[in-house]
Amino acid sequence: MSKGGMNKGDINKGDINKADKNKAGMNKEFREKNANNLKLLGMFAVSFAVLTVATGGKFFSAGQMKLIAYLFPEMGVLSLGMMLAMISGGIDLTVVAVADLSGILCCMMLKAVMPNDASLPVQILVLLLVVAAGLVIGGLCGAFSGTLISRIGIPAMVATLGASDIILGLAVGITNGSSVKELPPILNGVVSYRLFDAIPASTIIFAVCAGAVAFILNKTSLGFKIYMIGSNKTATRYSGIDDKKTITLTYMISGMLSSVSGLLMCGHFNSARSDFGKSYLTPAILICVLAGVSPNGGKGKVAGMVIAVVILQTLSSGFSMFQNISDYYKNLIWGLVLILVMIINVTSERRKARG
Amino acid sequence: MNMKKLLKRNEFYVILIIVVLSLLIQMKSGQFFTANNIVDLVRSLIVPGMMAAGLFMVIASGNIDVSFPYTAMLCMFAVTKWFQTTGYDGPVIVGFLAAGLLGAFLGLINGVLAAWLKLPTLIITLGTCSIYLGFTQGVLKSSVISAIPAPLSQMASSSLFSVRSASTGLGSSMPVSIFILIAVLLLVGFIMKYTMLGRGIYAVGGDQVAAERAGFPVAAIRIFVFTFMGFIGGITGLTQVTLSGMCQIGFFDGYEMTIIAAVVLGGASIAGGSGSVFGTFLGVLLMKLISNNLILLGIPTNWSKLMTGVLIIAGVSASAYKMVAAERKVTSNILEGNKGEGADTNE
Repeated sequence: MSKGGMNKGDINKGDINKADKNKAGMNKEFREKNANNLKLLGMFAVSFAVLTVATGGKFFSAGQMKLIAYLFPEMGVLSLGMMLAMISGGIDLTVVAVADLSGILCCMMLKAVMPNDASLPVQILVLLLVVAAGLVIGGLCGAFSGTLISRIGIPAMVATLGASDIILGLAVGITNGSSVKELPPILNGVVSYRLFDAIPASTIIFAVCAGAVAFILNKTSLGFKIYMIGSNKTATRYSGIDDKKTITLTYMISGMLSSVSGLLMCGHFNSARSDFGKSYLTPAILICVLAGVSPNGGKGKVAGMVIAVVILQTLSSGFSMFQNISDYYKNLIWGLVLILVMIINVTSERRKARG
Repeated sequence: MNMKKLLKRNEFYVILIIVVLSLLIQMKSGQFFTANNIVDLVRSLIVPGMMAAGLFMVIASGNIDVSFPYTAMLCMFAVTKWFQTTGYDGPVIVGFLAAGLLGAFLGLINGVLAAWLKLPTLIITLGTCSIYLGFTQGVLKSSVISAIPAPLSQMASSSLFSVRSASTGLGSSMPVSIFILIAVLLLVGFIMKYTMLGRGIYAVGGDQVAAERAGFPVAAIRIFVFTFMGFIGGITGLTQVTLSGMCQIGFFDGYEMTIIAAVVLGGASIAGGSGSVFGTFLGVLLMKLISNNLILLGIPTNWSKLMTGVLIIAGVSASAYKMVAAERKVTSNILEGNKGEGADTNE
């Protein structure tokens, strides 16, 4: 069905009109441009206030804030990859599988390579090498699904569904379904390190990833091409852009981001398992939709994404403070929110188009 | 049917693979063509076969549904719990009707959302599947029901006939629910082949805009396929209870993947507009043949997930590559100046 939507979509659907930026009416334009972000900030404030009142002020505590800052990057980095794929008009269902596989492989490598009584600089050097290897693994996985989509012509959804089974199948096969434990302490040490005792290292990693994705999307020709392909693939191809290469690159970047997320997860749990990220897929898509990334492609900004991730993690942490809301209700709530946000986005867009 | 036409049919190749594979398993283990193995295989086809028939309709209409395993799960627990709490002791058909209706309602939600929002149905059904799962675990507070109510357990223990393999001494019985599978397959086959609705489903899947211009009620067709899928999902859920004699939350784990793979292997294009219910059934048979005999084929169970993925990709690649190659031919025709025929096919 996305076929029909993509053909109909026009180029100006993506707000990529950079030239208009310097014209008059800055204030109004600023508001129009950031309407979605302002809406998201409003949502964040409301949910935050409601949670604070509902828990009798317990929610608004330093410990809770630290927890949120510590937890959201895993999901956030994963969603950044999903966002890139969705902007290009596809979807990347392999994010969780890639995170698991590269987490497992990296942890195995780390265990094998790390010398027993290495000094701190050596340990960090080894970790950096392993992270680089993880990025290569993620890139390869992304190149695999990207090739299936662009060169063989399989719809993104099925290609990544199948690729996800293959990648996760590898992860299960390698580990026999059990977990990789007794990791060298450096990974957990880095992930839970806090700069100035306040800012967790994982938040900094997320900021770096978000910055990189924002740079790619806004400042490079690759980013422009990704928006173009998502808006109208046929028109993009006929204007002489190599859509195959662009799509493959998109999924490669997505794979690398998933890989980073996988390493964050391993650092957080201090082990690696083939079913860690299982529950992250729906929230990752939810974050993208919440952030205003259009499932039909061509639209989406990193800023909205960052706010959406924080909102979701705030809600998630908030729910877990109530004893009588079990984890099971979380599924129910995420599903409901996803459907509701899609309804709101679609109806408001249609109203705008009519008015 | 002449030879040339036969060689072009996807079903022909699937049958070929199935025959070769069964001979291979027979050679390796010598236990494939035993009465109880065949009955076991047919038994294991019932639930996936029904789901695949429903999903085939959804895929033929150019949509996708990943929520049906959760629809089945919700209906299974809801009806079993309802029987349990009321102490119901009547004909079991009432349960199937209730499960079907509840499933149809859940499918209707999917369908209405899909027709209204016009967003990728994968994302919509991912959202609803999360809701259905949360509802089952949270609201119904269910994970396992080991003692199932009388009407269901009666059906579970009744069978058409039993066979016993002479060499191994293992016995299997053919459950009554095989008739449900046959009925569902015939119904879907009839709708798709002989009714205007079926033509409409293929038309919408082939080209939505063209179908709309031709006067097909696109929104209604879309709502119908999802409702029908939900209906089948509900019935399948209860069938699973009668097959295994209990309810468990993990019954349908990963079914969305394997069933999609089966439908695609059976020759339905994932973009919609093609495929047949016979091909779909063959796809399910092939999937089950492989997953039931992985160990006999020398593949450890830990690698079975990898196999599903490889099967999906292999199945889709073949048909997708054909389309890309055809498109490339058109493009090169344009470049060489044969604009007359090329421009038409390429808009």
